[in-house]
Amino acid sequence: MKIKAAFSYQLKNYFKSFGWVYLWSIAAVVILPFLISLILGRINVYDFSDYLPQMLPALILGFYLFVFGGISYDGFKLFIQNGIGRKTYFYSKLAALTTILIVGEGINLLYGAVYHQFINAKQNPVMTFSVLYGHYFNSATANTVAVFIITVLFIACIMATGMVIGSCLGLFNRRAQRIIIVGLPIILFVLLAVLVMLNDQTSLKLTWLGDLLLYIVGMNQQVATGHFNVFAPIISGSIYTIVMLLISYQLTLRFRVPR
Amino acid sequence: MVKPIKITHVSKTFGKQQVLDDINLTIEPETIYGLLGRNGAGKSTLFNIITNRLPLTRGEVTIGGQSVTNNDAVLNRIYLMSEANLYPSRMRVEDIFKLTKQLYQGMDEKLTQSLTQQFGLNSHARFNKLSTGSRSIMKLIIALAVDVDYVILDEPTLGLDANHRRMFYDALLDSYAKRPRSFVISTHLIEEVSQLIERVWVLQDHRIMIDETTEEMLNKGYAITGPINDVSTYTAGLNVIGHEELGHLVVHYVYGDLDNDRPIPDTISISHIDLQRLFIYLTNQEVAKVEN
Repeated sequence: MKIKAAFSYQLKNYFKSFGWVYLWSIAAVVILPFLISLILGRINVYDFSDYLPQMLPALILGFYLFVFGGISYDGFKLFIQNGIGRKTYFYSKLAALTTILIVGEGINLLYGAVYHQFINAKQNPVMTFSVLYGHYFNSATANTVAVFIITVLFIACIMATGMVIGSCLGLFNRRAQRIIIVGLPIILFVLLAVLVMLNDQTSLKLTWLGDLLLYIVGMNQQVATGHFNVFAPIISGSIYTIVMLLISYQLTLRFRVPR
Repeated sequence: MVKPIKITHVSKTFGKQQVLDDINLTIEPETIYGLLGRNGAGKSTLFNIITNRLPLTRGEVTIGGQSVTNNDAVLNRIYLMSEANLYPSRMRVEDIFKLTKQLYQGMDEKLTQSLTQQFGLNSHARFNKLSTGSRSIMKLIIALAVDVDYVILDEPTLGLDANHRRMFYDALLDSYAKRPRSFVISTHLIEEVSQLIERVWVLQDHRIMIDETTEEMLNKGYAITGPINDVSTYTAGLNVIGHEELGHLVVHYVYGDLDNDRPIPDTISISHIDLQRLFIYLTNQEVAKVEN
């Protein structure tokens, strides 16, 4: 397998585009409001921290991994042209995106700590999931590690979902892709509307679906927020990620040129 | 030691449409092949199957007993230059060369540079800014410089003018002489490549109709010219694949052995025909049916 060469190429490309996404996001979230304030002559009331959300790097990471996890077929085309098969393509892509995930989460932690310390010293925790799971164990270290794992798994779930959508779209030609991209959100929207309607008639919280969702996130009515069961999201997140990656792998093996 | 590519009982259907039917071929190392076939005969499909771009319906493609399916070790020994543009559209030519070097076993940088200069290709240009001819040139440079044992060229001269085509044929022969490896060339400009190819495959009706050395094939092709009656008498029972009428003279094209016991009238002349004409008549089903 040419996994090393493939991984190194993918990682280099991902880092480059990841950097660009960061730059554009900062430009859109920080510099743009600054310029608008400047143009409107309200620079004296412009406060840097008002426009810098604590979740910014986490949102960028989630968005990035979803979108770039979803871009599958173009990478495959290039690799098969260069004598590299589908399996190596999938593994090298997964390894490169996982590396981005870990590095990105490291940046999130750093940013969270800096934000908490210097930018907006409110009582927000460094990792958002601490609000739900930060007090499950008696040890602070165990709680931090558990919340870190949950955060990483949450982003991995987003990445794996993007990969499944991308590899599914990769099986269709451009015309079919457009139909799916336009049609699927409409179907999902209708489905959501039906669920909301059903919820109005009978609260979904009282059905098995509500119970299942609460079980997946480790929420128990007897337990206070912050003490939710950390093992439930770890197990359900791991299962979801593995299943999604297996689906994406099987779909990637079906890629072909021409489509 | 380089092992041959074995194509065994390969069939391919798209829905209900049969494109390839029980293809059996061997691509030996260090040989130049010509795959000839009419439009839609399945040449590109066969190439896509050999390089695992398309899955096959039946059969297998192996190198040294190893299947090509998702097998980098063998896929990395084959380069397919085709009309399909699989490179990222915004990538620069020089970056495509670098990437090819990185993902394949290597690339002859000197040859790449010299061919880039020779063909006048702008290596700083982005792939999507290149003309059809320049894209072909870029892919041909990769095909000649990349370190592989098998180079497959599907319509390699698409968009190239006569000068560039000549330069390419010279470069190919030069590259082959310096580092012998296998080339499989599919083109409609048969006359131009007839001097290059050592073995000919003709794909017709989804099957391999001819698999012979170029010399053997050319030796079997005859043009028998003379008055209609004399020619018709002489060619009766032979495999006449086509004919042309020139006033009161007629030419019968025959593929196969002539009957040596049959006396040759003074009024007729027998000569060999070129590969292109042979191909045209062999694959012209209507004429062949009438004559047979």
